[in-house]
Order: sequence, then C-alpha cells, then structure tokens
Amino acid sequence: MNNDIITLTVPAKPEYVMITRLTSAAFASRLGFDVDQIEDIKMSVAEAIILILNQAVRPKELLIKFMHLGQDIHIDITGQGEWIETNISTQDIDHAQLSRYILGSMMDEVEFKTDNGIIRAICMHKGCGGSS
Amino acid sequence: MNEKRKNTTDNDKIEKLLREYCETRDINLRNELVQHYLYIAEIIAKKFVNRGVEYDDLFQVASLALIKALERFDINRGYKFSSFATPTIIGEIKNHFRDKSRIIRLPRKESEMIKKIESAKAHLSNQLGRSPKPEEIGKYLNITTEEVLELMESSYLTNTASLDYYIDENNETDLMAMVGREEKNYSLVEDRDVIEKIMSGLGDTERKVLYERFYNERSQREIAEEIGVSQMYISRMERRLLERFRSYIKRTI
Amino acid sequence: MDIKEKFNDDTKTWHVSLDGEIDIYNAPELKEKLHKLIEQNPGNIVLDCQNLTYIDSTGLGVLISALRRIKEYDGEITITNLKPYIRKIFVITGLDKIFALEVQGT
Repeated sequence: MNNDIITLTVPAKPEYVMITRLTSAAFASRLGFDVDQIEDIKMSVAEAIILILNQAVRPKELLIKFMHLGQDIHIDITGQGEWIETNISTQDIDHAQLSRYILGSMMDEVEFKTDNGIIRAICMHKGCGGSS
Repeated sequence: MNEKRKNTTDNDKIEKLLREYCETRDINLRNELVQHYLYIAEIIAKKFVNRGVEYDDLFQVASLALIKALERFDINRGYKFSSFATPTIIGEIKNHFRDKSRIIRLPRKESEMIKKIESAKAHLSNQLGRSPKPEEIGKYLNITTEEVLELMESSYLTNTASLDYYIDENNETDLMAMVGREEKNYSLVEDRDVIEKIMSGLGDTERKVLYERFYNERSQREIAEEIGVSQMYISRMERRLLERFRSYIKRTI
Repeated sequence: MDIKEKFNDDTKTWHVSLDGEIDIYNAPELKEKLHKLIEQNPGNIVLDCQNLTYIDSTGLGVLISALRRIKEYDGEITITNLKPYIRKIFVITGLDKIFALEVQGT
C-alpha cells in the first residue's frame, strides 16, 4: 500500500459522485478508518464536488487523486478540461458555501486553490486517529 | 441580475437583524433569525440520514444546535454566521449519534442486509468502545468488506432520496432521477396511483411542469421558455415538488 | 426561575408551573427537577408556562430530555399557556409536533 496513488477522472455529473464516494470508501477502509470516519470522508468528497460545480464557471471533468501519508488519507479534487459558464443563481451559490463549512468540519484540513474567485481544486486530508 | 440585487438587500437586512440581536439578545429577533437560518439545519440534517437515525430526530438536534449557535454568536468576531453555525450543528449531531449508539432506530424502507449492518454497527460499537471498521462488520456478518461498503452506499441512496445537492441546467435533475430513472428503491414512486394522487393536489403550472419533465423528458430551459418564466423558476418548482413527493412517501410508508 | 409542582393522584399527572426564565444557568436545575419528578411518580407532566418569559436552547434541550425520559414510562408532556413569542420557537423548530401545546384556563 506504500505510497500508492489512485487517480480517477470522471465527467462532472451527479452519477459519478457515487463512484467517487465508493472509491474513497474503499481506499479509506484499507487505511483503517472506521465506518463513521468513512461516512465523513464520503460526505466531504461529495461536498467538494458540489462546491466546484456550483460556481459561475465549472469544469466538465474532474480529476480525483487518492493518496496517503502514513494512515492519513489525502484527496485532491481538481477541475480539468474545459470550464463552462453556468446559470447558477446566487442563492444556490450561498447554499454551496455551506459545503465549504461542512468540509471544514469533516476533514482535518482543507485547502482551496482559487483563481479569480473560482475554486479550481480542493485538497483535503484526514487522519485515522490511530485506532488500530 | 435583479435576483442578485434582491439577494444583497436580503443579506443586508439579515445582517442588520443579526447585529441587533447580538446587541439586545431579544427573543423575538432570535426567533426571526432562527426562521431565516433554519435551512442550514435542514440541509445538514439531511446529510446524515443514512447513518441509522431518522431525519426527524436529526432535524430536532440540528435546529436546537442552530438556536444554540445563534445564542453564542458574536458578530464582532468577524465570522459569517453560517460558518460558525455549521460546525456547531455537526458537532451536536455527532454527539447525538454517540448517545444513541445503543439504540437503533431504523428507517422503515430498509433492506434486510442494511438492517443487519446497522445492528452489527451498534453491537460492535458497544463492544469495541468505538465505531467499527468495515472489515470488522464484514467479519461479524460473514460478508466481504466490499459488500459492507456497497451496502453503506446503497443505504445512502435509499435514505437521501435525492441528488438534489447538484444542479445542472441542462440535464435531468433530482426529480427525474427520483421518479423514473433510478432503481427499485424508488419503484414506489413509479406507481401510477401515487403520482396521480399527488398530481391532483397540484396547481395547473405545477402539473404541467411535472408532466413535461417526467413524461416528456424536456429540459428545464425548454419548459421555462414555453411557459415564459425563468429557468430558475422551473428549477425551484421542481425542488418544491420533490419535497412534496418525499414527505408524501415518508408519511405513507 | 421559579418551579412549583403538584401531583394529581387521580390523573397521575404532575402539574408544574415554570415562572421566569430558563437559560443556560438554571437549565440544569430544571433538568434535575423534572427527572426527579418522573422518577417519583412516572405519569404525565403538564407544564404551565403562562409566566415563562424566556427560554434558550439549553432550556429547550432540557424539555426534550425530559420528554425522552417520560416516554420510557409511556408518559406525555403537555405544555400550556406559552406566550406567543415563546410558542413561536416551538413552531419554527417543529417542537410543536412532539410536545402537545395547549391553552388552558387556570
């Protein structure tokens, strides 16, 4: 398992959020996370995707990387390919902001890579808490 | 554009209210603010429905936590209220799970296997003094870890009942996913009688939108153009209809 | 806050009046009291709140915990004569669906 990286590229559509959640669950499970932590990680991954997609511009594709440092899980979600304009209302953007706060509560650390106010990538990590 | 302007005025109004509340701690202002921010409690509570506790319970905990957050909020610290309230609400929900780990309340529409997972989880939590790992649940139930993970995910799909966190203007959204395209879990809604019953309680426009989206699979934009309203209007209407379906199903199961 | 209680043997009901404010400072006291009453005589509780002027989230939490406790004995909590601005928070949060809220003559 040492330093293996799993890379997933998915179209930015709702159907594929589930695949991302499942992959993160499987990866986290191998690292020794318990079921509650796994649910938190799954939620975070979904919220991060929502955040990237509910903006004035959004990508058509998402690149998701699963990595680990010791027993800490690291997940990077990056919008890639073409970015297109959306019709999102500000109310929905406000609601999407909640995702930002939810992310912060679920993961140990979250980093937003922005450019001109648009989030391009989200990097997050979470430790196991050492229960082995 | 008008919407954006209106939104800013609303925000200003709320900020004034918040400021006034922080100064006076007046109960009426508090109640008004709770009403305004209740959506935060709803949204967060919904995200935890697949973990073995019913939504009503979760909402109770979340709304109380929201009130608590308001009572503790100090606007002079410079945080946005929602950024302050969210971790408080999540924290209280998690505490609630810890308190409830002995009692399992299962949503009624669960498969046998998912029920067994919840049982196993409660039992092992007690035994281990912490949440179990998927592997441990698998061993306990004599199924593979993979099956455990897949069942956890399907529990999420069953209980969340919507993909409504995501809005895409062109393609099918929550309503369509829920009423037609998804799996057997939603077969109840495909039942003609159920749909007709709900349809009969709708207004003309709502009925038309439902019909066009569900039966004719037309996009929100198309329908909006035809009716002569904004696409956002159609999107919001769909969301309201979704709520209605959800609560109807909750009541009748 | 002032709490007065009386047990009605015929109806197996505690009649408790809550005067004043319930907040984070005295909520634990109320919690202890209600739980004690339930232990003494498990049955139903009627809370007369006509002189209740304020309740915060900890107060609401105490009521909910008392409700959970009394439900273990199949009891109910009825809350009466809430001032409108206090009743409002019950309605907003859906607590009016888990507590019976009534207006009663004294």
